[in-house]
Amino acid sequence: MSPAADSRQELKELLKRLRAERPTIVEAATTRSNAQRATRRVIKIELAKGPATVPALASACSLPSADALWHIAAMRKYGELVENGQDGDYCLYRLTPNDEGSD
Amino acid sequence: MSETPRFDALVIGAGIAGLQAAVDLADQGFKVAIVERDPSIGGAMIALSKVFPTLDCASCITTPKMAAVARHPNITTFTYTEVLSVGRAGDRFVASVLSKPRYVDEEACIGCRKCEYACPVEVVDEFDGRLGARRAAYIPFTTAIPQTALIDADNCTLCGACVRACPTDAVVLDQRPREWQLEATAVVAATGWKLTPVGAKPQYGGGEITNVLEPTQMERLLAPHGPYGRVIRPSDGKIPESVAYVQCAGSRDQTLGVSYCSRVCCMYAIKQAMLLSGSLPIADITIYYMDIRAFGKGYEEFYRSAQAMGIEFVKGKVARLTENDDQSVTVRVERLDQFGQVEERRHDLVVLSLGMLPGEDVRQRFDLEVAEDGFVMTPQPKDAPCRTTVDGIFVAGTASGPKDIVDTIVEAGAAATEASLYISKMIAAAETATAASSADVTSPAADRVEVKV
Amino acid sequence: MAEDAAPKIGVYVCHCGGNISDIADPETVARFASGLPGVAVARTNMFMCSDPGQKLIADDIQAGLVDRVVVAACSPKLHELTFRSVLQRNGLNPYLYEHANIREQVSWATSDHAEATAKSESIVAAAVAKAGRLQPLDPIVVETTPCAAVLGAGVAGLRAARDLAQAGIEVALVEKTAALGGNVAKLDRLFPNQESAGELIGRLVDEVLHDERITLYTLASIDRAEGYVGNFTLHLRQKAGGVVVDRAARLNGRTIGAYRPFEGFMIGDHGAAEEGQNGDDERAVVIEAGALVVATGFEHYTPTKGEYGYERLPQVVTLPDFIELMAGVEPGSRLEHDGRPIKSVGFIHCVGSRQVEGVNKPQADGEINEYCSRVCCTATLAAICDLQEKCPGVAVYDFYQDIRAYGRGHEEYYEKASKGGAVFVRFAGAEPPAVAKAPAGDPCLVTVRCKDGLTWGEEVEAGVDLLVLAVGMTPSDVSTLVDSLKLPVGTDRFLLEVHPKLRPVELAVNGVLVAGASQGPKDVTEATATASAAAAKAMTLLSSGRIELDPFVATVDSQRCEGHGLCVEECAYPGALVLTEENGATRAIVNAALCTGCGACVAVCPTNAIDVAGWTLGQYEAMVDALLAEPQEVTP
Repeated sequence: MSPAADSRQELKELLKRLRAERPTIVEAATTRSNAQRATRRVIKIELAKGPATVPALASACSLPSADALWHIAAMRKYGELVENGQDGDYCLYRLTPNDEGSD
Repeated sequence: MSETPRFDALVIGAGIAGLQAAVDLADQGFKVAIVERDPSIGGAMIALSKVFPTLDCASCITTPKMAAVARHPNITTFTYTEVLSVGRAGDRFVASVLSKPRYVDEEACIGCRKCEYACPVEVVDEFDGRLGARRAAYIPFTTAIPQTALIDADNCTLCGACVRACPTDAVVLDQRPREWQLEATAVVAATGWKLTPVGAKPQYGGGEITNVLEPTQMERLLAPHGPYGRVIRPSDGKIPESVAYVQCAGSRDQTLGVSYCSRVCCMYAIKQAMLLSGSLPIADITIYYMDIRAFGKGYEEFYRSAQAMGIEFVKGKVARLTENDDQSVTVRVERLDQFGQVEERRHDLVVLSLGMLPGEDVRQRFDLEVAEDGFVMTPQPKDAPCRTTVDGIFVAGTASGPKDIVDTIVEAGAAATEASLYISKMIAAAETATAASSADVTSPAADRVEVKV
Repeated sequence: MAEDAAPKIGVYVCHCGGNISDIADPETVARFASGLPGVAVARTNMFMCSDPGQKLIADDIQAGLVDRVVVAACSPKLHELTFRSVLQRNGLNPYLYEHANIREQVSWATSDHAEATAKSESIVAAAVAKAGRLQPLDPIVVETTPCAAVLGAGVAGLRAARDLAQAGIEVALVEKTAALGGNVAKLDRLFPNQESAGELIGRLVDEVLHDERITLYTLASIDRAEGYVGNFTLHLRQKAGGVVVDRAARLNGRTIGAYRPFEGFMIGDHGAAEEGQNGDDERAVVIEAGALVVATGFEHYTPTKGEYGYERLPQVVTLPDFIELMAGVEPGSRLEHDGRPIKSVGFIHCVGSRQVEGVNKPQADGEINEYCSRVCCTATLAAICDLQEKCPGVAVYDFYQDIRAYGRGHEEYYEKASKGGAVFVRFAGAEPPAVAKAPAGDPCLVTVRCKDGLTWGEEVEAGVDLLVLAVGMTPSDVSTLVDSLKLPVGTDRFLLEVHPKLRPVELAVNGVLVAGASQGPKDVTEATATASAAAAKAMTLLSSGRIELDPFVATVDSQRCEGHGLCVEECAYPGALVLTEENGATRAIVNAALCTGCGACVAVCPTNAIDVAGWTLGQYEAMVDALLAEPQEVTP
């Protein structure tokens, strides 16, 4: 085996061992993470259609608007979207070009 | 672990008080250990937007002090480490500390954030007032010191993405907590404060109204790296047309067990109001208050400029906050300036001017006595405000009661002086003891040296 | 500059977390800078002063990309030193650094985005032009006098002197009166722990008098001060009867004194310290000190004649007067003033504080006291509680604006006074209460009338037998010190610290520290805390015995100097510039430690023989050329 494959194997075993050490915590975290990523996919599909405000996005994705805003904040922080003008009292957000349509 | 590391002084807490006390001691040549329970030094101040009365950005004041501590040759910084107990052993103190696992090798990490970008898990970010997000692998904030990543084990799915992304093999997922000890001649407790709970008053919504904010959350909304990059309502992103402040929402209230004044709330509310009128020029801003306590240097002048900017000050007691269908908040206020007449007003956003509670219960860990208010007792408050009930342990900043940043920094300097004199006295006493035979101590100052062991 | 290769200038533009970037665009400024001659790199960061920001600069220096640095950020007052030390730590001479202020001078001064960005570019261009002409400089090293002078022996001065002495530093403690304890001696019991003022002062005085490293001068005032950090000279005038308590006096006499309530701790009282006592004549004393701690305290505001009836009605007194009156009252006894029984007392807050333009009479300098005096609210409430306790039948009316009982244990006095039946009436600063003599036949002596802010502005009137004015604090007169050392003073007339958070106990004149209420109103706790904090700074300053000063001082080119001496006439700093004979020719020479680098000499030299290091005429010319250059077209 190459050294890289060697370390890949090592990592696999380590992760397995740690999962066995704290199964409930890891399982709960995984469930939460999967749900959050599912929501994120829906939001991205919606935003790929064009810029949207938080309430518009929330109603299109059937989400509480506070939750939609949290996702907007997260995506903004990691460079996945930017502000794109305003619609009345609300900001419009759009995906950053290289992120559009991905995932 | 080989020998127990020894220092002249142990500073507990790396907020602005701890940073200042550590630098002042280290500048005098003393070896200082500074122990911080959070993953970065900087304390509460680093999360603020701008600070009264100069409106300097908080980072502009804090980050240079953080950097000065980080690179001072006489200071050793231990972050993500809790002090479990401090006990006396002969002429010095022994502290048991617990270094929590970062799951990242501090030496190997170069702070590139590749693990953070690779991490697929996003969770609520405490640093951003629970309004924004962070990953499970993360650096706490952009100006954190050390610039070392950590992994939040409670939210980690063990996918291994961070391990694969790290260019220096710094991720150590099987790291364990480590309990160890250090010794110091003197201790400075700079354990800080925490907010009075936002949900304490059911009549203010019990913490359940989305657009009723903690003042620290508003700080994040106003801060340059804030969660939304601007001030909008957390409920739906609306740009608020009117913002209200409820003063004394956590202080001067016997029903909450907080009868004291928290000293900073009037000024931070005025400051936030001024910043808001800059970022939301057309919004109406109202401050409901009992007394405006603008007592510090330049504070009254600051208050007057806020009045001149058109911020409305209403003398009244807020009886109730209720959430409306459009998620605006109705404030029911008894006008103290109008025979207690009741009035109701709607606001898009309401900030509760919460007060300060002690950040740490020092009784259990450090064997320090506290006063009725729960803060560290200072038995000689007038001429030696940094002394505690234990000789050799000194207190700085909000650990001994609410205080603003100016007063905290001054007091940290005073605590450093106390600690410095104490350490010198102990060193001299040790030297005298070893050279007892040749001792010829007649000076009146030396006569009064008391050595308590 | 012949020996040098072309300079490699790094330009670092700070966002200042929006302070700059909300108005001027750092990215545009950096792009512009990268096109300037000599600029090797131009970068931006959210906070250049933070560790990651400093690392940007350090990495470029380490990589050999950069050998001179320009940071465009806030005022150099805040962070010039921060960035110079980045150069030093990375092996560059720290004076190969130029600071461009695009916050105070640009983003805080204009709201026009395009203009702000353009102005930032000009300022950066000037800084770059200067940076290309910077030369390595060495700091001036001077020996320090291992002694500190503490001015004022109130609680702050006593505490500072005690701290410094215990740290092994010789201290000269200078007091203008005959007593120690300052204004605190004029109090009875101190809030919040009801400690006796006499006991507190006694404790501090005991430590000070028994420490042989402290030399105390009473009845001594400052005539003149000169010098610089590490080497100050104070010229004192000690009045007849003034005492010197030094080592000799301690050996020869029992240098004790006694505390007299409302006067202070009198030194050399009862003839016990004749050894150190000054005779009948005034005499001059000269003190050398490496650092100064100014703890000159405050004076109570004196109401103008007729202000709230003061000095017109005998029943109107100040709070210190009232505290002294109450100290003599036995619990349960009848309260009397001026031979009359007192059944009701009124208190007016904010007398001499929180004044309003056009309402209150201006002070001697034409300004009003806009500031809050911080302690009077709780002091008044404590006095009310004392009154209620000792004389339970007396009615109390309290006229206030805001009750500022902010400190630990302060709120309790407010509650106690309210529970004790004090009636609170809220007035607005613009409409202060009106005080008049009560009409004949009225049971009371004085009437106080005011619009009550608690009852819809209803006009209320209270008759009282005694009216107490809660007078605020004004700074003690330290004009001789301020003038001779050019100390900065704020608009409130108190001494002005460099920065309330970065350097809260330091004045802009290096080596001069501030403690207690000379900086602004403070209670005893806060005053002693600043004293200890100031002591910490002085200890650091004096610990190594030497001090480094910036090398920005005049330098004379002896080839060009023809000894006209105009520079010596122009120089405002005695001894900084002198004429000497050198090989038969007269030449000007500079004492680097005394020169402040003001440049007055440069301007008058007919042969252009003088320059200020780090600020040479050549550098100025380059900056002016850059500022006046046609704006360049920048392609985005």
